[in-house]
This record gives sequence, C-alpha cells and structure tokens, in this order.
Amino acid sequence: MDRPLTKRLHRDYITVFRISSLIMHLVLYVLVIAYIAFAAWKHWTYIPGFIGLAVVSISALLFIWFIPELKYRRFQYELFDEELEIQSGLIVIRNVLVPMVRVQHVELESGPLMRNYELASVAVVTAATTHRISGLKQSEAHFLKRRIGQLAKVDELDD
Amino acid sequence: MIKRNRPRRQHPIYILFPLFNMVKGLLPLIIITLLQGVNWSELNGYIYLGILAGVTLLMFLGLLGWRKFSYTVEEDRIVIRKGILFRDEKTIYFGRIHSVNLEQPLLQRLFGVTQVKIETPGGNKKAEGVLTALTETDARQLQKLMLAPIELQGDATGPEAPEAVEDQSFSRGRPVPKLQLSAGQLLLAAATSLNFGLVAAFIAGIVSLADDFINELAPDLYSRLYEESTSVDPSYTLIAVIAICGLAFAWLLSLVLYVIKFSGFTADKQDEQISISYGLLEKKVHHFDARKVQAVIVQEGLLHQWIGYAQIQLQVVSSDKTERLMLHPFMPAKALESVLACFVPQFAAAKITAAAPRRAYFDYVWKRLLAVSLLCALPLYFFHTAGLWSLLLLPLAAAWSWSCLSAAGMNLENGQLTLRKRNLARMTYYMRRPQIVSITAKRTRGQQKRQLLSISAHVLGSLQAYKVACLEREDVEQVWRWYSRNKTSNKQ
Repeated sequence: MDRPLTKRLHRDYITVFRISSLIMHLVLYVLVIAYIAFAAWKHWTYIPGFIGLAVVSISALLFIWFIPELKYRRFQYELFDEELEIQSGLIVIRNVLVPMVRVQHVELESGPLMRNYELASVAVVTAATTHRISGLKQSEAHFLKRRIGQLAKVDELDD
Repeated sequence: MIKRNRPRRQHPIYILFPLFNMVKGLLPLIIITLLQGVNWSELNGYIYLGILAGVTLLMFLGLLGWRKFSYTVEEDRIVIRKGILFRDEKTIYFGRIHSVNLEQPLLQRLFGVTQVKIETPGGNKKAEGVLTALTETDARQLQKLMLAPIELQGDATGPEAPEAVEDQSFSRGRPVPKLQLSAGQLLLAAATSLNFGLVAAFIAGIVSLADDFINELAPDLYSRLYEESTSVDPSYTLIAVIAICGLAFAWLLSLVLYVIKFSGFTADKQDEQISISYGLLEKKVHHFDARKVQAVIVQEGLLHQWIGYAQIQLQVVSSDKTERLMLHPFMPAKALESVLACFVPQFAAAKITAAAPRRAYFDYVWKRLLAVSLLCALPLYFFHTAGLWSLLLLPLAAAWSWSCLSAAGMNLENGQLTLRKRNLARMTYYMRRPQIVSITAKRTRGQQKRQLLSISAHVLGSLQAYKVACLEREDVEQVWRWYSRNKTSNKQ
C-alpha cells in the first residue's frame, strides 16, 4: 500500500472524459429544456424544470471541470512481477491488490471517442472481480495486456 | 442401475414436464376462468380442440425431448447430449465438479423423482449440468460415481492441492458426527430467527398472485377498503394494535417458513465428501468436496447470540453467486471449533485478536446519526411535540453503532484471515489465502490521518466482498503484506 506506484493514465484521458461528460450533459440539458417547453405549452409548473436545470448545471461543473483532472491525478497503478496494484478514488482512496495467479483473462476495450485519441481501457478479470484501467494509450494497453497474459501463466505453489 | 459408458435416459415422467410447466405458468389464469364460472355446454367446440392440440403438442415435444436426452457416465467424465433440433453435447470432467445437488422441487416431489444439478466453477448463470428427472436410486448412484474419491486432477484444484494433502492426515483420526436438528431445536431456532427476507419474499409472491385474483374478482376492493378505513376515526391504540398484530403475523409466518425450509436437516461427511440435506416440501441435498469450500461464514443473529447460538454457512462455487450452503442453521457457538475441525479442517475457529480501535467510533456513528436525524425530522414536522418521541432513536442509533464497532475486528493466523463485523447479526468470515481473489484497502483523508483502514476481501464463488470498516492501520497493512506476492518491494 505504501510502496510508490509509478504508472498513470494518459493525459488525453482527461480530454476524453471532459468530452463524454459534455455530451452527456448536453443531452440532459435538452431533456430539461424539453420539459420547460412542454410545461409552457400545457401551462404546468416550471419548478421541476428549474430544479433540473440547477442540478444538471452543478453536475456539469463537477464532471466537466473538476473530476476529470482529479481522477487523473488520483489514479495510479503498477504491475509488479506477481501482482497488480491499483490506487484510485476521489474521496475514498482505494488500493486493490490482484495477484497474477488469480487473473483469468484480460480484455481491451475502447469506444469511438477513445479510439479517436488512440486510447483504450484494460479490464483485468478474476474469478470474482473485474478491475479496470481505462485511459491508456493503445500501445501501452496492448503491452500491459500481453505482460499480464505472460505473468498470469506462472504456475503457483501457494501456502 | 447406471452402467459406465452406456447412454441412459431420464425417468419417462420427464415427458410430462413441458406440459406441467406450461400448466403451472398458466395456473392463475386457469383458476380465474374457473372461478368466474364457465358454462361448459355453451363453449365453442374449437376451444376444446385447441386445448387438445396444445396438450398433444406439448406431450409430443416432451416425448421428443426425453428421447433425445441422454447422459453417459464414463471413466472420468459425464457426457450429456440433448436438443431436438439443435443437438448439444456437454462433457463435464469429474475433477472439475465442485458440488452435486439433488433437489426435489414441488413437481419432482409429487412424482417421486429427483433433479440433479452439477456445479462447476464457471461464469454461467445456470448450473453446468442439470438432469431434471431421475429416480432417487439413480440420482444417488450418479452422485456417488461423480464424487468418488478419485485422484484430484491437478488442473481443477491447482492451488488447493498442497493443502488438501495435509488435510487428509489431519482429519483421518477424527470420527465425524452426523449433525442433526431435533424438533425442539428446530422450533427454537425458528422462533428466534426473524427472517424478514423470507417473509418479504413470501408476501410479495402472495400479493402479486393475489392481485391478479382480486382485480378479476372484486375490482373495487381496494378503494372500498380505503373508504372504510378513512371513515372511521383512527385512534393511536388501533394503529398500535394493528402494528403489533402485523409483527406477530410476520413472526409466525417466518417461523412456519423456517420450519418448512429446514426440517429434516442433516449434515454428514464421508471421505472428504460433505452432504447436507433439508427441506419439507422442496427437498434439497447438496454434495461437495470439503476441500473445495472457499470460506466459512458464521452468522449470529441478535437473539441467537444472546442465547449462545450461531449458524454456519459455507461458501462454495455455484452457479447461484449469492448462494451459501448451510452447514448448520442453529448450533451452540461453543461447538464451532469441533464442527469446523470435523467438516472443514482447513479452517480454524480463530479468535478475533485485532479489534477496531475506539477512535473509529466517529466513523461508525456519524452516518447512522445523520440518517436517524433526517428520519426524526419527518415526525417533528408532522406531529410537532408528539414527534419528539422519535428523538429516542438517536441514543438507540448511538448504541447500535457502538455494538457494531465492538464487533468489528480481524485475525491473521496460520495462513487464515478472519474478519468479523456486525450490521444487525454478527458475521464472522473465515478464509484462506489461496481462495482470496483480491484484497482492497480503503480510507478517506481523515481516516488516513487517524491511522484507520477498511479492508475487503473477494473470495471465489461470492459476488459480495467480505468487508470490515475502520480497523487499525497496522493490522490491515499486515494482511496486505501477507497477501502480497512481491515480498521484497513491499518491505521497504
């Protein structure tokens, strides 16, 4: 837990995070405005619309402005010879330790937006859990995937 | 008799199963039509024809399905072939099997046949192999064949193998007693365990079923009830009486359901194979290898803990990720050590040595106090001075948090991690290093300063992590180092 974790996500991930939050919040804004227009037409109360506007605005500020940068700063990981350690979390800091011998398989995922920035996310799957490192450059993600694949093969003589 | 290497079909009663399942699904509809009163002579002849055609079709499908379904027991595997149009062949190696369950759901019980479920570690939602209808002797024989003490194949058990060798020598000398519940114990257990989950599920089922009937038979029942109840001036005593009656009814219902579920409980062990059976209406028998138990969970309900009893569950790999097998529903807490030593000797009934520190009280109490305060705001707003009574909940919440804090703790000894916590019931989790898939440590900034850490461990076969909040930092770090494989880089 106290050993230094040196690896981070790629800085482009912040941009991708911001853009995807922006898109999501635009959709939310459209919904809220649609409600207000509908309310005006049917002479309903505007109050839910205004509350929605306030909530969406605050969440937009958080998710477009603060959280992407914070998430990037707080997310660290390191692949050791026999285990993977990931540290993440904004308010609650979590450290996860996944031994290589417990890894079942590794998945690479990337949506259109992430592909545009040559980013990918690596999902490390064990028998009971899935751990995601999302926002690595594709070359690095591929390397990580291959490396975990090699390390996970090692037979274990446990206990 | 099941012979090796010869394909075998299920019990012919299986032919009727598609028909009965369809009838079961349509049962509410059928009952409603019957209740509304059908004039049989006026019915169109085509309807009878349609029903007849449907029945014939389902019987025919059942017959085809039965003829095309076969299972073959070979030297080290079972092959199941099925499918009418699309053939499906499934091979399950005995070494991969984690447990074999013989079940008798209602339908099977009526016809005196048994359903066999074969569980292997895999991501599927359903059991790997399901044989819906076998005679009881066939089912027992099959289970014996599949779980025969063959040499454990290395691939399936991998990490557990070295431990298993040591276990055998461990358990050999001990005679394994059969665990049973006498009628009195069963009743006491049922009376003291308020299983609200069971009751809620039952009531929800009844209500959803009853809703169909009520809407059909008396559409305005609810509105009439509402009118009647509001026309009478409701006094507080009446409300209290209704509430108490409701609670008493829930308790009685939970008692009955508990007895139905666990009557005839026995747990037994023969050469590393544990078998557990219970159930009055739906009978279940679980068979599995003691060495494939992933974790032991001891649960002490408030009342149970008070009279010194506990229930032991085993975490086994199964297709139902939330399922835990009951090793004993009601056992004196003192007997835990001997029961574990007999049934799962790799686990020890370790005592909690590292308790959560007192300074963590704030972390335990503040959320509950906040929730209760918000809850109190409502009666205060609506009933003014009378609502002040709800403030009594605050000391209750504080006391509850205190008891949660004093239950929290851990122990790390002889390659076994023990975690204990309380929500309402006190839970103790016993697990060993090879079965732990990942470990997580959590803390907020404040907890970091106060040297507190929360720990959670994921074990194979369970979706839910076993967690304890706010332990001493040093204790959790010790677990971290113990679990970490990179000893050198962690030592600095």
